[in-house]
Amino acid sequence: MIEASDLVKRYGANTVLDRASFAIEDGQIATIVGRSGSGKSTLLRCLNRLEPFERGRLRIGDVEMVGAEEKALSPPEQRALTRRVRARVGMVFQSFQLFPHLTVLENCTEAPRVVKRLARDEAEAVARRYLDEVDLAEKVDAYPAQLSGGQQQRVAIARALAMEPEVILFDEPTSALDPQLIDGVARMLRDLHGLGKTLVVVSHDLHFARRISDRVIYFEAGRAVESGTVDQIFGAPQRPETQAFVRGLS
Amino acid sequence: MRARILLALALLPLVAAPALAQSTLERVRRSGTLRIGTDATYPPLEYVEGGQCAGFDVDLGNALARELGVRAEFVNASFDGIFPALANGSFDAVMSSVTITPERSASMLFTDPYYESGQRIVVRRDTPGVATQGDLSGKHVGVQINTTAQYDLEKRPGIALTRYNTIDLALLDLQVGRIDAVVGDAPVLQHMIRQSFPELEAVGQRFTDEKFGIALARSSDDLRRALNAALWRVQQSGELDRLSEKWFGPASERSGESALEPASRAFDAGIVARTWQFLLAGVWLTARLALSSLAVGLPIGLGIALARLRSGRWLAVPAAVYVEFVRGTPLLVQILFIYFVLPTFGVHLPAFTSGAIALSLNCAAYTSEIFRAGVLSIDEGQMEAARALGMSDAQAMRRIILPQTFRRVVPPITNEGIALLKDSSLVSVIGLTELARTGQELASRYAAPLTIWPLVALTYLLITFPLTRAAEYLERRWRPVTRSQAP
Repeated sequence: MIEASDLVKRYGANTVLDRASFAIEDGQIATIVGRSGSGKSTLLRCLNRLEPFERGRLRIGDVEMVGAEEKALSPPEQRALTRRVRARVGMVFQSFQLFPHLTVLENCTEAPRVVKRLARDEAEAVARRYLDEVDLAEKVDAYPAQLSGGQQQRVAIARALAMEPEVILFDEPTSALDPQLIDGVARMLRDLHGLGKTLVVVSHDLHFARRISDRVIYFEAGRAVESGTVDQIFGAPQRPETQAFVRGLS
Repeated sequence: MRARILLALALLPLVAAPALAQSTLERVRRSGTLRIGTDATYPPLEYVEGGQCAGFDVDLGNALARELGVRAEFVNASFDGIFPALANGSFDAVMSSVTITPERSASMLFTDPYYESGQRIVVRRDTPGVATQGDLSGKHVGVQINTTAQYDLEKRPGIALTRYNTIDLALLDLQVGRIDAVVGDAPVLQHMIRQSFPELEAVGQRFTDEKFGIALARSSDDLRRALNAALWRVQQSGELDRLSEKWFGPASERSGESALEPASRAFDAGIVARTWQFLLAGVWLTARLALSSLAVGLPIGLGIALARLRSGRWLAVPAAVYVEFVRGTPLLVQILFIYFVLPTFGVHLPAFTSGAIALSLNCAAYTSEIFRAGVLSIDEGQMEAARALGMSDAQAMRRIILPQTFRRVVPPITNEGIALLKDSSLVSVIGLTELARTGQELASRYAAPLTIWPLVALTYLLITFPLTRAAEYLERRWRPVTRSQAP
């Protein structure tokens, strides 16, 4: 269960998240949609503490984060909390951010070895399992620069999976890919869903969102305006902002 | 004579003469050695022959030490470094064709004069009508930089003056025809002409009255009196005249024993055969200096870069100040400071250590900026991706950011390493005979700049070439980062 209540995130005078509240059930694929600048990418970064937020609460399973203005933490407390959050939440970046100096296999074993202190063969066994899952078993010794965009994305997914998180965040998973690859991404996300992961996806591709989502959250001006199933949001939106957004796209 | 206004002299007020527990003479007697500083690039007065100091000053210094009942030990150092070293007690005396001048007498002691030198004019044999200073009007004249010849001629109107680092280069330019005359110390000019400039001749009379003395620290008056007495005895016994005859007299031109054998002007393979082992010794010292400075400087440079990038102000600000300070001051002054000024605070470091420290500090300052730029050039997303995987900042830096940084900075760090290697020549000022200094000594000893300097350049390649190859190997090995073709 991911539960956000009244999240406020500001950059100076600019309020990016303005009392955003929403909930995502375990095992769901939730897609956050909205125009660019609506705060959806910032929200994603708050979910794994790449960005701190000022006010509000954010609960991921049994870990709770509270806005910095409401509860000040000492640096060691901060680090401990960050560790707990990141152990549960993985992320696949829009530009993948594979480590160019490491092979595909090393990309997937580095964090388990450094963070979880797994032995090399143990980490490699885990990594090979997930690389197999994303259909890259024969590319383990390649370097990222030798892979296509779609292959790179699958490495990024396997790299996140190798840490065995409960939640995986996807920032715009279709934006860097050719249109014919999007079907494959959608299938892969459904497969991850089958592994019991909770996925939070930020996308402005509504066709894609429609295909993969259990839950759609519409963001506008830093707030979660409306949240519901695909049919609810795309078929019968309740709020005028959502109606305008959905209508503008069809 | 050489009356160099030393950059180093600017430091002298800082170098308070150390309060010596015992007098200099007592120290010399007790240790049994008289340490004499000399810049052995000035034949026939002082030069290096077969790795040993030789020349008129050296013979005389040995004779004087014998009179005192001790052994003379000559320490070869570049002229710029000699007087600070004398002031801080690294030598007991300086015998290096030093003219007694009022300015110098204000900061050091001199013995009675032991040799009377003077200036002469040198022209090409086919140049008529030059015999006196007056004849130089309207001419283009070469001198050695910061010599009494330069100061004299600067006062005369109508003379175009060119200043050369060493007198053999001035003679070379005269021979080529770019200038009309050279003015300098008579014995040295005569020696050089005999050695390798047959188309040149010294004309007219010696025209300034310059007296060479042995220079001593202000606190060494007892040693000065003892040396004066020894000088008097050497004079009385006729030994001084014999030495004079041996090195400057007509006999020196014939005598096989004393005269330096003449060399041909163009590239001379015979000189190569006689000098290669000294050049190799220079290479060895230069390589040791450069490699130890890199080994110490690179990790410090990385540390400074990280302090500036990732730590709080209490570390970042001092790191920035360090870089600013080291980059903003000349390496030469830093070397002089460490070697000559630190002893007054009780820190006595050997010459090699001092040189290596100065070079390491420089290497750290310059490479820290390369490392900093390298880290900044890595996409911020790499750091975020590592952190999102649960790595701490330190883990991400060590495992993800720095390995990529190192691959990127190989070419500029190679540049820096080679620059450092060549900058290491500045340590000759504190008496280290590294490669460039070896070249200077050999070029003046054989009066053969056209043979020695190309040889020195080639010898530098002996070190830089493997360094460049090693860097290329690293780049090739790390190529996968940028390789984009399919495996």
